[in-house]
Amino acid sequence: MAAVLTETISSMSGTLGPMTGRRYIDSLRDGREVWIDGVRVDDVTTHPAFKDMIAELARIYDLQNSDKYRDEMTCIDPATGRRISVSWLLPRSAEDLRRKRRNGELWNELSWGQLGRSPDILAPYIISALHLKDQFSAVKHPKCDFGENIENYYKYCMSHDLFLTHALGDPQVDRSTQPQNEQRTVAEDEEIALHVVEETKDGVIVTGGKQLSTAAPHSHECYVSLSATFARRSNPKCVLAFSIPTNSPGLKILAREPVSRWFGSWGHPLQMLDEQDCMLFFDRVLVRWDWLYALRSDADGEDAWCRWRQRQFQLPRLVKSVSRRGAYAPVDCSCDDGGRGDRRHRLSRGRRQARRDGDLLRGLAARDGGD
Amino acid sequence: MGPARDLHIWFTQVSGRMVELMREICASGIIMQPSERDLANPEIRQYLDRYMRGKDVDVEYKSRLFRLAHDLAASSFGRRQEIYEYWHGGDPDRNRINLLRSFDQKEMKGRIKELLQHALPHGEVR
Repeated sequence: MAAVLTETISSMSGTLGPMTGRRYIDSLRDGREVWIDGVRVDDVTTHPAFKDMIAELARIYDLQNSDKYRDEMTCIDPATGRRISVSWLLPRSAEDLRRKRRNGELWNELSWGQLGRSPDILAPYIISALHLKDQFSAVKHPKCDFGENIENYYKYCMSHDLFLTHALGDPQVDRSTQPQNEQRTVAEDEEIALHVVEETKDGVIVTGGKQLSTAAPHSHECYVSLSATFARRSNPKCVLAFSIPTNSPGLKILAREPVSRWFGSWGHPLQMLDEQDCMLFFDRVLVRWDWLYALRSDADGEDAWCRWRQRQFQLPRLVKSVSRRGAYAPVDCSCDDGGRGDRRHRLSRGRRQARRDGDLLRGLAARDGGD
Repeated sequence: MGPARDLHIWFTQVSGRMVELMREICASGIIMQPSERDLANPEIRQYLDRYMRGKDVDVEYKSRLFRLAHDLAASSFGRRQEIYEYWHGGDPDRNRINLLRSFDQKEMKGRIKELLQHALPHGEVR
């Protein structure tokens, strides 16, 4: 996957179109390091703990290409003229928003509403981040442009119709002294949280744990960042966000005990939809410069540092408000105070932003003559 | 039902809440713990020791503790226990009605009827 990413980001030549069941299954045989019950899994697509979930997703991927669903779950990307999944469509009109809503509805219906991490869930994260491209670019780094990284990554995901999951939390070792708790900084805890250990010419080397990552064994990539719970970091080396191929060397995925031993049986009709929850252990994993969205560098001024923190609160909120509507709308998130305001101020601005967001949606709909 | 009928009904109200609290306190740890065979594998044990231990307790102890919580409050076994605790004394709603009916309500009903017939004078302090 890493090799494919290099090729695609540099040339953007390969467009595979909407994912198919066959392509999905083949793509998971990529050497990823998945562990379950003390055993390294050779092939998740044939292992009893994962195969039925994967087969079910493959079925839905085939459905998105079928005559019945093609027009609702896929569309022509106006920028490239190529067919893509609606999940990755960058919305440009109220009609696009309605399409994305319907696509989310179909993914939910076809998976019986049981998947917390279906393939259409993380796409809005990346699309929302793409909209904030300028803000990401505003945090300068000598080795890469974070905004450019997001745009290239969006194009890569869209053209390959990739399935992303995410990992946002720290391991549950001691919830009273984790790095987000600024009053107490225990060196040992910061070693547990994902952090940068080294910078190289290719990227940063990271080590640490993440709890949990749902759907990690059968997704293509993982969006690794911090949720609002963990966003406040006292140590700069713990401030980073990136996406990474699931089969990256050194990334170990520990699956929990399956919630069913009777996959696919009519006696347990939903248990085949065990989407798994995993610990991620990063053991000196290379994160390439072009995979990063944010990195707290010592060269950063305090302003950039504050903006990064602020965005950490903004982005999840934006995504949440967007996913509630099942759609994405462009918003104005200018950081006019440089992030120096206190948290209350930031929250109230978040509400104003949500209101503008809603106004924009209504405006679009009215212009389009829709609801 | 035995003599402690009220206690029995109260228990149907709190037993589910008890395990619910356990799920809330344990958070994701209640589903994500290494298995015995995970712990026995030296290749991944180093990561379990580091990232899946607790505060002042090693991963061996923590996983046993959380797995106990899991079996009480989250596994198929635990959810069956929860259903059992709710229903084993019979239908809690009907038991409450029966409990109510087992008391002599004559005096209270009489007082209510009296109140309805002779409303208190408005605004008068008695």
